[in-house]
Amino acid sequence: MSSEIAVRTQGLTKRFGRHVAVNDLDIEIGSGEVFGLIGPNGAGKTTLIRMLATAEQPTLGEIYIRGQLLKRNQTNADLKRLIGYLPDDFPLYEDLTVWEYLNYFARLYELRQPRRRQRLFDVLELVQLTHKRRSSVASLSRGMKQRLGLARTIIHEPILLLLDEPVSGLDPLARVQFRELINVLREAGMTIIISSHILSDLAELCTSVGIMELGYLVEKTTLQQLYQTLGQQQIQIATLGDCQPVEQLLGQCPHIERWRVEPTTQQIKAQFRGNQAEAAALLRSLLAADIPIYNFQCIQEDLETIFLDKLDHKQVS
Amino acid sequence: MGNVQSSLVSRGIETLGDWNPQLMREIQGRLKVRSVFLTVLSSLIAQGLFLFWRYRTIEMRWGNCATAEYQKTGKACLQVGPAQYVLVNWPAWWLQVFAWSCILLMFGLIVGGMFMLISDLSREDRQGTLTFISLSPQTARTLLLGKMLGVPFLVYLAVFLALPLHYAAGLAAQIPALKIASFDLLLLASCFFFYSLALLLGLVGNWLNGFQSWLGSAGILMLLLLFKNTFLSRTAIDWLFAFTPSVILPYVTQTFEFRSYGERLPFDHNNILEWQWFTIPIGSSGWMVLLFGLAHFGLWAWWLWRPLQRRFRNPTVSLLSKPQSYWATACFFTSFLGFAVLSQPADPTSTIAAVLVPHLLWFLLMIVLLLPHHQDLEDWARFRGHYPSAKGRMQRVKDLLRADNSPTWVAISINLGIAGIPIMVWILSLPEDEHMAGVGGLLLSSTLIWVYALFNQVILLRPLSHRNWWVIATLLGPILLPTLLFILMGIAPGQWGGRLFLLTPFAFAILKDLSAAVALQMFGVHLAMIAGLTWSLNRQLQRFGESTTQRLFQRERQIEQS
Repeated sequence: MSSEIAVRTQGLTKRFGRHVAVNDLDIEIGSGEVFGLIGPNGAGKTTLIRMLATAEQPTLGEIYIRGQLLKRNQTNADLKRLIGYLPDDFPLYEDLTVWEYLNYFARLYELRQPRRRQRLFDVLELVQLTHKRRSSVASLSRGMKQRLGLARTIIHEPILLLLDEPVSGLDPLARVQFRELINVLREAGMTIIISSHILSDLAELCTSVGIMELGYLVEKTTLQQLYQTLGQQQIQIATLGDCQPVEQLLGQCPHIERWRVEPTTQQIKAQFRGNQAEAAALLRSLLAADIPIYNFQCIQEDLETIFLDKLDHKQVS
Repeated sequence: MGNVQSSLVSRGIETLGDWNPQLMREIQGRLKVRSVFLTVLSSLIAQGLFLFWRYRTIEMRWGNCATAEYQKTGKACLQVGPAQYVLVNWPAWWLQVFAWSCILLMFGLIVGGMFMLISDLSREDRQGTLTFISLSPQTARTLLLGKMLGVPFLVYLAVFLALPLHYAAGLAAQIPALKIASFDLLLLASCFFFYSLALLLGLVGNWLNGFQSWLGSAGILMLLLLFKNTFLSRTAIDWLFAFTPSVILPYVTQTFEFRSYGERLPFDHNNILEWQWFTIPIGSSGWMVLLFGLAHFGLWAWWLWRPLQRRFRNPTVSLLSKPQSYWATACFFTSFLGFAVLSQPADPTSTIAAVLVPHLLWFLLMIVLLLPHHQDLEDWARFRGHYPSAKGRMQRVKDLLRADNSPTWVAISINLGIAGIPIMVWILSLPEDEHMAGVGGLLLSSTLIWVYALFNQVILLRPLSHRNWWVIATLLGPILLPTLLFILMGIAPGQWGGRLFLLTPFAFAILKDLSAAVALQMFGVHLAMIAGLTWSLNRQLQRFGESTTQRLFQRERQIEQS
C-alpha cells in the first residue's frame, strides 16, 4: 500500500432497507488532494462521507486510511486522530464559550499543554474568531458557527478532512470566507473530501472530482482532465449596437461552432474551438467591421454546465 | 502563598481535564454562579426543613423542667420556652435523624442523579452531539464515566453539604464513624450501578421522546420504596434486597437491639438476619452484607457496561453479543438461585413461582438485549445467511451462535439450556411431590419463551414503523392477552378449559391438578408453534436473502404465469 494514498475503499456498500445508498465503491484519493463529490440528492455522497468519518458502519467492504484498515465496532483511536469531519448540520454546545468548546474538543483529541493553548490560538486566528473566544457559542452568527465548526474539525490537525455541504445556508460573504479557509488548509497539505451542491465553489477548491449517482461512483477524474475532455471554450461578446453584424461575422469564422444571444442582456455566447491567436484574429475582424464591441472575453465552460449538460444523468434529484 | 495555591488549583484542573475531558466539560457546563448558589441554598434549606420536621416529633409539654414529670428513664428535659419543655431521649432522637438522613441521601442521590443522567444523555442523543464525541479517539468508558461523574455534579454538591449533618447525627446517636462510612460506601456502590443503568436508559430510550427520564427515575423510586419495612420472603426474590443500600441500615443503626424504642426506624428490614445465599448466612453480620452488596453492585454494574460500551460505539448494534448473553445468563441464575437454596426450605410452591416468574422476565429482557437491528438482520440474510457449501453451512451455524446480526432464536435456546440446568438441579433438591410441577413448569415455560422469541423475530422482520412499541407489544401481548382472556371468560385452573393455562407462562400453577397426558399434549402444541414460527422465520429470511436480480426474475416469472 502506497503511503501516498490517503483514502482507499474496497467494495464499500451501504444499504438502508433494500435501498443501496452506496454500491460496491472502490476509490483511491491521494494525499494532499482536494476531492469534490458531486451528485444529486440521494446519490450517496453523505453516506460515503459518514462511513469514511466512522459515523456509519458499512454493510460490506473496507476502508483504509493511510493504508490502515478501519475496524468495525472498535474505537479505532489511532485512525480517528487522522480524521476531521464536519457534517452539513452540526450541533454545538451552546452553554460553553468559544474557547471552552474548542478546549474541550482539543482535550478529547488528546492535545496536551502547552501545545493545546497554542493550537487553540492558531485555529481561532485562522477562522477569524479570536475576538469572540470569550463569547458564548449561542451568541454567534450562522457563518461564525460554521467557522467554529471547522475550527473544531481541524483542532487536532487531521490529515483527512471530510466536509459535507460545508457552505450550505451561508450568505455569499460567509461562503467566500469559508472558501478561503479551505484554500489555506489545502495549502497546508490536508487531504480534503468535500461534497457540495454549489459547483462553482467546488471548481475553485478541488483538484479532482467524483460524480456519484444511485450509489455508484460514475466518474472520477482530475478537474483539469474533466475540462479537457468535456469542457469547451466559449467567447462572450457584448456590443452597444445590433447583434446581427456580429452574428454574420461569427458565421464566417471556422472556429465558431454555434452561438446564442442572451435576450435580456443582448450578449452573445459562442462555442469556440480555436487557440488564443485565432481568438485575437476574431476580435480584430469584429473591430475592423466597426462594430461597437465593449466586451470580448474568452471563458472556459464551468463545472455546473459540464455537470448539467454534458453528463448523462440517470438519477433525478 | 496565594500564587502557589492558584497554580496548584490550575494544575489540578489541567490534570483532571487531561484525565477525563468529558468530566471537565460537564463540570464547566454546570459550574455557573447561579446554579451553584441555588444548589447550596436548596441544600441548606432542605436540611433546615428536615431538622424542623424531626424536631416537631418531640412532644412539647407545658410547665418547666424543675417540675417536669419524668415518664421514662434516660430522657433529658429541655426548656424550649418560658412555660414549655420537652422530654427527650437524645440518642434515640438522633438515631431517627440519622436513619432519615440516610434514606433521604439515598433517594436524593439515586433518583436525582438518575433523572439528570437520563435526561442529559437523551438530550445529547437527540441533538446529535453524542455522535461527535463518539467520533473522537476517547474510549466509550472514559466518556461515559465523565458523564457519570460530571452530570450529577450539583446533586453531589448538595449531598456533600449535607454530609456534616449526616455524620453529626450518626455520631450523636453513638454510631461509630466506620459504620456510618460503611453505609456511605454501599450507597456509592449502588449509585455506580444505578447511574450505569441510567446511562443505558438514556442511550436506548430516545424513542420515548424525553419521557424516559421520568419513567426511569420513577421506576427506581418505586423499587426503592418497595423495600420500605419489607421482610425477607425466604425465596429467590430476596435477591432484590441486594439492590438497595438500605439493606445495611439495620446493622449500622443496630436496630436489632433498639427494638424497645417506641418509633420504628424507616427501612427497618426486620428479618434481614436470616438472609442466606447458598446457605451462607450473609445476613448474620453487617460486614458480610456490605461485602456481598459491594460485590453484587460491582458485578451487575460490570454487566451494564457491556451494552453501554457497545451501544455508544454503534447505536444500531444489539445490546449484548451472543457469547456475552451466555455468560450473563449463567451469572444471573447463579446469583439468583443462591437465594432459593436455604438451610431450612420455605413453602415449595411459592418458591417455584419465585424462580419461574423471574426466569420468564429474564428471558424477555434477553430477547430485547439480543435483538439485532432490522437492517443488520436483512444484511445478514442477504450476504451471509445462505451458503450452499458445507463450509458455508458451518459458517451459518457459527453466526447463529456468535454473530451480532444473525437471528436470535438459537442463542435464546442455548440460554434456556444454560438457565435450565441449574434450575432443574435446584427443583430436584425440593421435596419429591414438587418435582412434577417444577420440572413440567420449567419445560413448558422454556418452550413458551422460545415461542415468544420466534414470534417477536417474525413480527419484527416486517418493515414496521414505531419498532420499539412493537417490541413491547410482541413480548407482552402473548403473555398478558391469553391470561386476561381466560380470566374474563371465567376459565380458572382446575375447571373446564383450565388446561388452556398451559399456554400461558403460569403453567406451573396448575400442573399439579392435571394429568401427565394433558401436559404432554400441551407440550406438543408448544412444539408445533415452534415449528410453524421457525418455518415462517426461515421463509422471511430467505426472501430477504434474495438478490435484486433474483427478485426481478421471480417477478417476471409471476407476470408470465399470470
